[in-house]
Amino acid sequence: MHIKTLHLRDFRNYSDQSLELNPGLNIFVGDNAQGKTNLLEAIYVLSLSKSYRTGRETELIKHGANQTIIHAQVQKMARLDLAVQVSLATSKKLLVNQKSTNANSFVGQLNTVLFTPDSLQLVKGSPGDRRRFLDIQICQIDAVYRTTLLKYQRVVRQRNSLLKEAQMQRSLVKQVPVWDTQLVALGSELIWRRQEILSILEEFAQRAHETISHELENLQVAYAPFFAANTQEHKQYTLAEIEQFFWSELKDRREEELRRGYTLVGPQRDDIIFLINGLDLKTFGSQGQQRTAVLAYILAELELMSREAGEYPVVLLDDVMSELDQTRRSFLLSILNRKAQTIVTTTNLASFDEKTRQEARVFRIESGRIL
Amino acid sequence: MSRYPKPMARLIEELTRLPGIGPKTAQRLAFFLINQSPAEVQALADSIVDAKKRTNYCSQCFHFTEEDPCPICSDPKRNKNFICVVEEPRDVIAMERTKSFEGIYHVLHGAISPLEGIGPNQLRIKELVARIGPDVQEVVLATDPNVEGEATAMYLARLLKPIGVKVTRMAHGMPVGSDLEYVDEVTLAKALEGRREL
Repeated sequence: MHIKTLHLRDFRNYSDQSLELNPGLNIFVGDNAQGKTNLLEAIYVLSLSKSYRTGRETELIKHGANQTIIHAQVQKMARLDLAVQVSLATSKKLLVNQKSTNANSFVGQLNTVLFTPDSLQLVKGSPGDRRRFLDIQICQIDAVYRTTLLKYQRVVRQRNSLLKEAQMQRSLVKQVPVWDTQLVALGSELIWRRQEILSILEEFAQRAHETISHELENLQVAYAPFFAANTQEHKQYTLAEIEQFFWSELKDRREEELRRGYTLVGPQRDDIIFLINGLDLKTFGSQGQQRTAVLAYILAELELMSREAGEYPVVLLDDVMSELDQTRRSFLLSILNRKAQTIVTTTNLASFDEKTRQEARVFRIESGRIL
Repeated sequence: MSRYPKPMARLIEELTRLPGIGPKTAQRLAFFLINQSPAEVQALADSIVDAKKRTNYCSQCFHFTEEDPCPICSDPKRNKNFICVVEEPRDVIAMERTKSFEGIYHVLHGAISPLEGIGPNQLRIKELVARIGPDVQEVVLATDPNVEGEATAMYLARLLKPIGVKVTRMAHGMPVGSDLEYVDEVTLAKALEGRREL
């Protein structure tokens, strides 16, 4: 799939901007703080219905305006018209072919993979970042997963609120089990699905990794559920096994939960482990090895989404070229160029070789305007 | 709001407090009302005051009613031993539209939600337990199928089952009369989970 036209109305520092995108590579060049990332953010909002940069959506509205509209024409099997409208006065509107729709049917229409300098920290960063990265991918291809995730997060918030209150008011303790059935049922489903998706991702990532590392190293990506945090063995669990471990862990840590006043078990405490030749990449890998693994993982996501959705997603690369060396840069572009519409931002056009620049459409951005 | 004459500004402010009414809609409603004849405005105001004055909660099921007990609770044809538990009065209205429920209701007036400080004591749960006499055969829990509704149902099941009454939960399922291909995947997945043998 690819975006044909994009129109921004009062979005961040853009007043009224239309542009036509190349189905292949698009390069946006500009100095810092001119609006390059804002442009990628707009596309991301069209894909996920919300921003990755802010939870306060009115921040998306240009200063002084009452509302912002992001509108795109997308070419999939058929042509698709997508729009998001955020306004100060009314709630957010999501439109598919001019028809208002809910987030669950909106997300998944335009699939994207976002790659920022932060993504390069994926291996080194926090487990929360790794989980979020995975969740964003699964939500785009699986609406049931997205609903389960939202419900589960709500259960955890409710349960935490109760556990906190119970610290002051002991009589509330007997209400905690009321939330446990949902915690275990929804949480186990999340773990099971993540584990399943990750094993597909691992296969694709291994293939990409072999190419980049010239088959010298072997990459493994494993899902580590909270109940197996202390074991070195990574195995696939059945849904029944997950539920069983979840319940027993819940029982074992009941006292500690009451003492600390929040939920200590569940997929919000899981992690994704990267291994190179059997060694934990986080601890034993060099920066170069870590970046290669992340690159392979991102390319795997591309393949996963293509497999699940039938088409390659749109790839958003925010200022990552300068972070990669020449070999990895050309490897990444050579793959993307063949497969997916790619939208890249950079401060320096020289990070691209002559041939790439000729094939791409190059846009110059200056203070919220595309020249 | 200072752009408006004081009485009108007050009206707009009052309207804004209504659920689902933002400042813009409140303005529109205020303009509309000011342009109405005094008699029409009086009729609206009277109907609000009258409705408030004459609507109470039924002392048995806590549904809205003019007389106590409500027409449903005092209907001799209703099965008093079959109680349907719902969150809000509007859920009773929805159930009644089906014309297929012959039992009586119990309105909780909310669902358990620690985040909003709502626990069992804030709901009409004690009153429900008091209604479960030895003749009550079944309590069907029709709280919303969201996280809070499920937790409330779970709480009630744990509370009522030991009394010895049959406790059931409303089923998730396919919307009747629609084609399978148009049903959203979440509903479809739930319906598959709750399938039954023929």
